[in-house]
Amino acid sequence: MARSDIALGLVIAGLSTAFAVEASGLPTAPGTEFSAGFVPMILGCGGALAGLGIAAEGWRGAGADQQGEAGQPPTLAGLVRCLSVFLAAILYGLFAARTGFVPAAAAVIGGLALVFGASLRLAAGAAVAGSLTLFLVFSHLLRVPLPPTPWLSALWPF
Amino acid sequence: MTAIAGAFAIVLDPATLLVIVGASLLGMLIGSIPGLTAVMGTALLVPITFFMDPVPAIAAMVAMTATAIFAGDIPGALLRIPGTPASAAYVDEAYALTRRGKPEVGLGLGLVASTAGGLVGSIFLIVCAPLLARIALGFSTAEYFWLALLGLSCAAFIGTGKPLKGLFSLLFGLAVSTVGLDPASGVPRFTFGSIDLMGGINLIPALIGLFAISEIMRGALHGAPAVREGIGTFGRVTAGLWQRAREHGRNIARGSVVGTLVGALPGAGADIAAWIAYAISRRFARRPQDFGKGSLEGLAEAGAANNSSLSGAWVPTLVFGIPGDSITAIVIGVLILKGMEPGPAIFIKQPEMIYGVLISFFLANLLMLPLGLAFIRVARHVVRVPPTILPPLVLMACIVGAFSLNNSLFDVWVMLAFGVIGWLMEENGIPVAPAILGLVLGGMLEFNFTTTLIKSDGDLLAFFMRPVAAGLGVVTLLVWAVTLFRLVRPARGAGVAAGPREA
Repeated sequence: MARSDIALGLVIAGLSTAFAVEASGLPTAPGTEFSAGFVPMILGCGGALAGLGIAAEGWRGAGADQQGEAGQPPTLAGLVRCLSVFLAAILYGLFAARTGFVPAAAAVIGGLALVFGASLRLAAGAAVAGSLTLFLVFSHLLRVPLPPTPWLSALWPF
Repeated sequence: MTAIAGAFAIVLDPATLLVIVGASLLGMLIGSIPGLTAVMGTALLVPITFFMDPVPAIAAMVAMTATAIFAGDIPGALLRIPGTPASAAYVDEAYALTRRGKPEVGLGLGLVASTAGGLVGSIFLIVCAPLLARIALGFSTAEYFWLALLGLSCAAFIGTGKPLKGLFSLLFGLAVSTVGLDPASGVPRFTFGSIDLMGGINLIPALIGLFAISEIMRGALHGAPAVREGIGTFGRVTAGLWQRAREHGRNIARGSVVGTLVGALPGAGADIAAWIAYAISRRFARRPQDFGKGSLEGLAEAGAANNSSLSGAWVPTLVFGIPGDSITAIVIGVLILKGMEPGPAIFIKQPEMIYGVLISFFLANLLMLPLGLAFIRVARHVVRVPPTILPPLVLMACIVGAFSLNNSLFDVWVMLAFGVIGWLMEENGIPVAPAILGLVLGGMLEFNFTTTLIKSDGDLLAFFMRPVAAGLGVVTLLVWAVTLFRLVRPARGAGVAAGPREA
């Protein structure tokens, strides 16, 4: 893991430097002594130094025993599950307004449960119970304007 | 006295009591399900507290976290999977008792120790917070700057065990806090033309992302812990319980004090408190040969410490506005949302509210005992919740929770972005907690830093001109110097233990 720490440190140093450079371009408002980028510049420089330090530590191999779980190589199934979480949230954001909350939430919960290895019955149960519970708690109890589900309102007009 | 009477009236209101009971049950549930942590539970509770009055909202968080930390012992004892990282220190002791057919012995003593620890911590909070607040009223921007920097430095360097990665995490959090309009000049910073970013990154969606989404992604990548079958029946939890509690009173008392003090250190949470208390109990044990084989001494001491640290962490949070751990970092966001700006003035401006919060600590910890005794009976069914359906349900709750804060999808995107960032950080061994503290305290740190500089025409000596500021400054610089020295000359032999994760 020492090698990955070198790469990580260099990436951090690069990003922090870019942040400091961007901050240095921020203007100073009239009548003020310090520019709006003064503190961000300090933070960027500090980040760059920390990044170089992490890289140096990786070079010395000092970080080799500090990885813990991060040291375990992920499996393909794990990567698929991880990506599914990300995609499910994005798909919900893109389609919930069109489909309504309950179908979108049920699709996210049921689909992800299947990806995580649940049986079809368990996934379907979780999808229905989970989406309806969240809908009732947030929409009816807390009055959050979740995307409306017209057919559900027709079935249950409360 | 009027304020205290008013506070009792608020807390003893049936609606508030109902909220405390409900939150306690939720905490039991969250703590006892492996994979759901107290911090994640707190983050998920935030959107719901958004719709409550200030005292019930904070009381809900207090009750939820206290019971979740205790309930983390349950899967630890039954399955050898700590429900929360705060229970990890003594999981082997509790599980050894289960293997000997006595799960109720460990769980019962753990419950009494947790309750006692929580009560001791609450007393410390109730006594010390107002006293410290009186002292803090005389603080200027220089003192606040050093206090914030000291807290953040401890969180980055001491709390994580990985100083450089902790430092980067902290700087990342501070950098994120600079997004939005510069408070001094009104110049937009790092907004990239987005109106949504003008007000800065919304704290709560970022916290939900960093704690909950990143945890879901971590679990998805590495797989959920396997739940074993075959948990046998329990004996009566109360049989011989009080006698055992009396026998281990010294351990419980010492663990409570240690936990409270560790908790009050910024950046050191319940997990660190439990590890330290466990190490102390082992060092001074009457029966050291029992350690690893079901030692009640270690279990009682560490069990008391993790709960007492929760209250200890509230001292710097309420008095200085500096969170003691990840949970109080989230709580600060809620306090601000509820118009209860943390700091010494809160004891003068809103005494009823603040005493209400302090009373709710006591009540929540008292309530934990009967609820815990009842919950232990049904626990063996709860710990078997299929791990395949938990991540989707938690993800959906996070999405709806983030959305509900401003009824805006932008907050959902913020949550998701920070979830990915948090996951990437943890996968690379970078602790998330300092970033959270940096995000929460960034505005305060920058304000006090620039204000002190402007007041002194840029003279850096202004940070050392007042005695308290100078003392805090020296301590902070010492922390940095010692860390730098240890980095340049790393310890030979023993590797640095991986930093504990959030409770």
